[in-house]
Amino acid sequence: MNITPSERQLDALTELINIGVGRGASVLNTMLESHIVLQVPFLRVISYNDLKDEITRHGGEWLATVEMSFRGNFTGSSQLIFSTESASKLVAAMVGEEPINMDMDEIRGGTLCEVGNIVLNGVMGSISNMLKFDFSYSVPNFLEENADNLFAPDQKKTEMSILLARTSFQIERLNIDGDVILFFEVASLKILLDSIDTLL
Amino acid sequence: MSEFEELALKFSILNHVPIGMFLLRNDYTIVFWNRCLEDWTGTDAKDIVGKNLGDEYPHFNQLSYQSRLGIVFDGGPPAIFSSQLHGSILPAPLPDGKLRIQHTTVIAVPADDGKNNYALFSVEDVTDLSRKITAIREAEKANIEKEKLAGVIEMSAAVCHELNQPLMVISGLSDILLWDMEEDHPLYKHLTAMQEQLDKTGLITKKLMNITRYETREYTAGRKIIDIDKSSS
Repeated sequence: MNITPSERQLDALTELINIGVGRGASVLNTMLESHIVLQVPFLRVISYNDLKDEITRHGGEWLATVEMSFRGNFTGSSQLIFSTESASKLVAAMVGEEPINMDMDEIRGGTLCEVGNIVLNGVMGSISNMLKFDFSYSVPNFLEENADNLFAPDQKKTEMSILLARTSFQIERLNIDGDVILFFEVASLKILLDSIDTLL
Repeated sequence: MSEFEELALKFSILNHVPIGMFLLRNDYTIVFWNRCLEDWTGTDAKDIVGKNLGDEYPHFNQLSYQSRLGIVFDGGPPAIFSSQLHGSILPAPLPDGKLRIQHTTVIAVPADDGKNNYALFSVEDVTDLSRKITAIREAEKANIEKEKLAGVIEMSAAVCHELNQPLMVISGLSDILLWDMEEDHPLYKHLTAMQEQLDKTGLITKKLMNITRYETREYTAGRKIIDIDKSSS
């Protein structure tokens, strides 16, 4: 069963996630030499089958992702995904490295994991605080993977509802797009939307 | 049994892991400190348990740490402090005097009162990995510089080769024109000016032929170009 949020629900969710990434940006700005601005230009509910095309539309086939699972009022996982090239540029800009030698390695992966951790914490914190949800979380992990493998056919995920929030990282002269993805069980999305309705 | 003794017993298994681990109460009191951290920092648990983390390691008083640890104390998601952004979160010297490079994960652990949370720090030593990656990066960087230099040398040699032929022809022809020309001839000063510029161009081609390093200088609109003077020996 597919659930399609109303425009008002989507607007409210976008606002909620914007608040979350804004919190993430303010934390990042206390840590970094470069000023960073994060924005969510749009949010959509899409199917797992469309996810790969949507994610790879603006970048390469190799993706760097930070994933954090959660359970509680509902179960799912949140992910921050970049093309590997964007991820390397972002990390280089954040730590003041020259933008050469752009391979992601374990050290840069660790840095991206921290950035993802901060952004995803902001988003999940915003959702749990505003909607009075309680979650427990797994430790975030970093993964660099080919899009075909990352979004390989998966029956369990095909049945999930997916919220895709494009996130724009503006740092120095760079403008890097990443994607925040929230995977929910279908029933979980309904709980989320019902809770949003109580706010409207 | 005191709170610290109870927690020392409860978390005693963490004395056997090869990772630095400590437990922090939400008032920043260190309530558990494992053996690995005793070894790394040279500070025994009995000397640090009960003390304030911010007093022992003042950087933890910074807003960037407090805001993120506050989320953990509230039972929120874990916090990660990466090696590249934080270096040595708990300064621990190695035999060579340098500090261990650390990657730290902090998770919420519910307290027995059911209301509060402790923050459990897991500090991994990633010094070896960092050093290996740094060495690889430096080798790759040197390789890139070498490849750039090879490209510049090949290009400049080709440019010199192609330029020298027409330069010699123009220079020879201007010599012939000047051979019998009187100094008051209307073209004389133009031809001598042309020869001066030809000499300058000849010097530039010599410098191009002698490029041994890859040095750049700022150009317009944030672009960089090869600094011929600095690059040639």
